[in-house]
Amino acid sequence: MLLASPVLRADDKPKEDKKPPTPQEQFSALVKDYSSEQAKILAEYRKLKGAEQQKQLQKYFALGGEFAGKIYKIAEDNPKDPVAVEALFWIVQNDRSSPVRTKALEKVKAVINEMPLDALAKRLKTVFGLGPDVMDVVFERAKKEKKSDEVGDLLGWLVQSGSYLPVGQKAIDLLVDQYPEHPAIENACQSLGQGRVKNAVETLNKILEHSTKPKVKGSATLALGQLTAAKVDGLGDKLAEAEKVAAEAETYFTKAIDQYGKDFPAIKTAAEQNLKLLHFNRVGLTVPEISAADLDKKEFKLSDYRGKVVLLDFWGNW
Amino acid sequence: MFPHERSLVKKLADKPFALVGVNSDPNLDDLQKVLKDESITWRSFWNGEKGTQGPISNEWNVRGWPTLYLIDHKGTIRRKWLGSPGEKVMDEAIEKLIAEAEKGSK
Repeated sequence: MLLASPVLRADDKPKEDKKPPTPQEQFSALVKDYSSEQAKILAEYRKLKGAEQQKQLQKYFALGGEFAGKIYKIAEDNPKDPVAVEALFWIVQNDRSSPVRTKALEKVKAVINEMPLDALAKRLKTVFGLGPDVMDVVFERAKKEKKSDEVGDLLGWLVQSGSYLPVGQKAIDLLVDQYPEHPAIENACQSLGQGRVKNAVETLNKILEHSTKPKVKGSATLALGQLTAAKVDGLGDKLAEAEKVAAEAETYFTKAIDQYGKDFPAIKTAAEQNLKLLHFNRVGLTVPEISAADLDKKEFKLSDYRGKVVLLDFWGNW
Repeated sequence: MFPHERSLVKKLADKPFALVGVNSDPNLDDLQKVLKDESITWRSFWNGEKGTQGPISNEWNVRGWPTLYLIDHKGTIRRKWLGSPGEKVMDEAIEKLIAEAEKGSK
């Protein structure tokens, strides 16, 4: 009886304070808990090393799965509430591998196929990292629909979500062909310049040809220069060829600076930095001198080793 | 990396080859134990107290560790790797350049 009394007292509180939380409130509370758990795991992770740190990383990736069950139940119990769709998307985005994800994924695929186009485009604006299986469904939907701004946005979302995935590449091609003025193309130029996208040179040339926006053309020119410069480092056994390709890269960077640099300082800065490195430490050049102290604070020079093959290793113990 | 590097240095001790490091650990005192424990005998430049933001790696635009450059006996950069390309690729590239160096000095 003594134990029960505080409970009774709690029940005495005025009734209006005790409205049950709405599905949306339940969902928000869970997402909040998830974020604070995640922050705790990350803080712990930074303190650990080696195997202990790896364990913590696994905890981090498993956390979504731990919340997925409860969040899925909200969606299941309130199928008509808008929170249901939100909850399902959350699971697909944050749960990497639990069986709940598979169930949620099937429902999300159905939702993507049935949702009004404008609502889908709006929803996707705020979520990334849904994974290639969801991207495939979005791409199929985009292909089925008539040409419109919303379809352009779906394709733009695909490009931003993963231009290096096969579905992202298909999306870039379609976007460049049919929506050459879409804002996602400018961002796409950056990832195309990093060399992880197949047929990137072809796509960038197409962008140059189709786009009327100077900023997009400038970004594409810069990206072509970066791709070309990256090729140079693979030509260590064909030094004459390396010089030719380096000259080609230089032409792109110079063009990016001369034609677009005045209006777009970010393009100018990036092209200048690339040009500097192209004249500094690419394959085919004489290695720059390094003159500094060793780990016993004795000065020495890289050129002390001329006449020998040198493996120069930027290393650290971490 | 360390075991492969130790074996390279040992295997190529009589050849025209040198392994030169640019170390980006911010604390030299902590590093001394690692040098001893891992038998790191090759010489390294120190990138300074700013660690990975030190002057050498910044000038070279090093974005990931390890980054490796292979330089021939004439001082020309012949390979650049972000991350180890694997022992086999590295060994073959080094041996090829050593052969060039030995031919060149005759």
